[in-house]
Amino acid sequence: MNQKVRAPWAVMLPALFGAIITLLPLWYLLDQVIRSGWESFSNEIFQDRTARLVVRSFLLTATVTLGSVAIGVFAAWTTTMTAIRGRAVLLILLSVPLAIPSYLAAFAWLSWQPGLSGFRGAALVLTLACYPYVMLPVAAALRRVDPAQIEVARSLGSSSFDVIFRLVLRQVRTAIVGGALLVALYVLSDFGAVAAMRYEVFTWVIYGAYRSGFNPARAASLSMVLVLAAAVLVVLESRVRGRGSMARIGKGLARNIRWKTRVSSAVVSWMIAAVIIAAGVGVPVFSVIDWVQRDSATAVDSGLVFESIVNSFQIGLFTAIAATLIALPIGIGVVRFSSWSTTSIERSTYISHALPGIVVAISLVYAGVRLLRPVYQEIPLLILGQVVLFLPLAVASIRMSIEQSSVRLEEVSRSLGLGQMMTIFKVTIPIALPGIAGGAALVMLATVKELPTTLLLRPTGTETLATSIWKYSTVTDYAAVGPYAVALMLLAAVPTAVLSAITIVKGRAHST
Amino acid sequence: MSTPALVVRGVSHSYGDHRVLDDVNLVVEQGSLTAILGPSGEGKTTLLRLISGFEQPDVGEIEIAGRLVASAGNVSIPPEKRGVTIVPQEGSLFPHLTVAGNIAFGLRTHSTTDRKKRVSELLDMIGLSGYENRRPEELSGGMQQRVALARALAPSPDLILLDEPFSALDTSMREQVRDEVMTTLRDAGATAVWVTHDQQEALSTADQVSVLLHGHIAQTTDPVTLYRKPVTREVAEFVGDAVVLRGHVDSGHNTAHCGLGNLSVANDVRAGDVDVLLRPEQLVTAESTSQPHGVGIVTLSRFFGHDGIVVVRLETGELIEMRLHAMNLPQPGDSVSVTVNGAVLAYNCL
Repeated sequence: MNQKVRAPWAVMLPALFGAIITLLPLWYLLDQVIRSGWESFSNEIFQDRTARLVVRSFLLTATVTLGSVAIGVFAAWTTTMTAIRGRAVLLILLSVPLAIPSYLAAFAWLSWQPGLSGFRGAALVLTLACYPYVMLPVAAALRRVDPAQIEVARSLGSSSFDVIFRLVLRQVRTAIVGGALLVALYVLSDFGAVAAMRYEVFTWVIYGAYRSGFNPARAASLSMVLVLAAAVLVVLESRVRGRGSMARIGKGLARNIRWKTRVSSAVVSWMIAAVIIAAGVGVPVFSVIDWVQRDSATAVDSGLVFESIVNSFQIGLFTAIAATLIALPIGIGVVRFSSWSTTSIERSTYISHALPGIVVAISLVYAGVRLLRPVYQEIPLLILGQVVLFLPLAVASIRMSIEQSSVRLEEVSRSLGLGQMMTIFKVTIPIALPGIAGGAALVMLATVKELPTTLLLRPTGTETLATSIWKYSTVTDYAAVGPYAVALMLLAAVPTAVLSAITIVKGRAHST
Repeated sequence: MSTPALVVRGVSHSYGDHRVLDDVNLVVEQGSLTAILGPSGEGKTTLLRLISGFEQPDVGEIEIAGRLVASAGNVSIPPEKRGVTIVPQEGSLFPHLTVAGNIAFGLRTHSTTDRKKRVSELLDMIGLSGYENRRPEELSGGMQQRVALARALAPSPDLILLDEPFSALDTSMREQVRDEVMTTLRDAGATAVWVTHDQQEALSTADQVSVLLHGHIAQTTDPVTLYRKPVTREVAEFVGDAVVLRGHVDSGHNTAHCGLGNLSVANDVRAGDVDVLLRPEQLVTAESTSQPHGVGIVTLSRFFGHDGIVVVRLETGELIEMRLHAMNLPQPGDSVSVTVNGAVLAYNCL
């Protein structure tokens, strides 16, 4: 019922700037395709091997997304809606895979099971890496389900099966679909796991086209297909998301509901969770421990390890700050000044998220040479590349936390004499701070783990944890990888712990 | 007379095709408390949002303290420049600030010492001295509502708007909080407009009550006049319980003839068929000494403790409801004589 308010320029301009940055890769791709002409483009696209690539990529994306939704929803349900012991510990352990980069997990599995490769290996590793993207938002949403509704449904004669599938899961549909979108985009753009598992999908072939033959036209054409796939996913998501708003009269306290859990089903739940944790966390951790204990062909230089840690940390921190600053106006715009333009800006940030890091990297090199020569092959360009890749993580998190805060508070602030911008700084942002911090942590995590963009955009000679792991893993010098892998897991584990803590605390705030 | 704190002139507002407010007119004098009384969903909140500047009227204009702040089409002063503060239904305290931080929120231009002084002054006024550093979630609903009021009072606004400020509170504490809030507003000399759907609340606390029905202001007057002389039957039935009888007014007379005999009429009415409207408390069982206005048979008797309600079928077949002392409450089947105290209301039938 609120009147549409036009976004002030102070919000609109930075948001627009953010959108333009994230569309840089698209501009590059279009330029490439146009330059090489329609004929060469269609030649690249309409051929058997491209069709095979599409099928393979689709298979992998669909398998991993479905698997992640199944595991993620199960994990969220077990840790929030059941009465089994150790739910909080389970939730934290189940979110640890967020801290493990997919290529590291892939090499860990390969060093244990060398026979595992191709589709099976890639699907397994990616599913284990991705289900937390579904689990965390679904767990948060489940905690907000009104227990009275469940009780009403039960009293109207619905079985618990009905209640779970017709009532509860329908209400957390937004969270499931949103998580599934993140997973699908992640799979489309992942490079490390598929390269390690030698499963030929778009990203790997594009990488090959740039690296070996340096065939930018073919790579750009294939990238365009990926962009299209990402656009379809984004549109699908907003269609399915629909309007799942909750109607609730009065504001009586929401009691915590816990399904009565029989001992047998609690044991089964625990066992399933244990298998997931063993596969997603146990295998990588034990492999890394095993690596550290092996004798290395090359002596480990602790100075180099330390330098990599500092580099990874700095790049992660600056990327998180930059992405948060750019995401803020976009998130505020789409929630508080909802309009055609702010929505398009928000949606556009998702497009580059689906692009393989390699495409983003190359397009920034291209932009760097043309527009940003002073920062070419410097840290700022690398950070810009990471921002382009991971902006949606910050936007989604900020958007969600602003949606949850009441507009009334901002109206009170306006009536007390604070202007639109002052109100944003004094009320909107402070209240959304946990979500903003959560988004920043997600970005930092993703940046520290990120491989292909870092490989291509880093200044010559600069090694991060990710590039070091890659360097030694590709020559199967696992002993040398050990210390870097340990450092990366620890560095990434910190933000993961922050994220899990936020999810849990948020849940508490809603349930007490 | 000083400039009115608020003038709403011919304001209309629609959401899409749905007209929520239609030609609303309202004048609020400085230092007065005005209740906007109406059923839920009839545009009360929209009116507040128009005054505070979160919506723009389609037609009409709004003046605050003599300054034009909204005029359909051309003037739209933003909310922060209107000198109008709001107290939303749930209080809406800023969760990230302490009690003192909330109250001081609108005092940015004050010096630190002035701000501190004003905050402790207001905390004193709402009886929450010593709560400066508490967090909103540590306060009870009533305390939160009082802090929200102090926050709205802090910058000494020209006008305070309260949106159903007591409806979110438990019944047990509603009256107490309401009295505290109203006393605070009066002590502060503030001008306030609040919306409510609670007739008793409006009648017992406001200087002026404005009845908003179907997006239109039906009547604006003091509580006593509103209850005694409502301008339409709808207003009469909305502001209090009513017993309605068929009746007739002869030309040249101000009495109505109905199932309870000839009753004098308090309001202006044309000759012809009328609806005669009585308040249940006007009806008493007749003492044996006086001449009753009518007799009837009790059809239903309901005991409440200190009093009770009986439904009586008159000789005309019409049913009337009487609120009687519980002592010797007549039982169904009993015959009772009914006397009417005071003048009644009559409205011409359409």
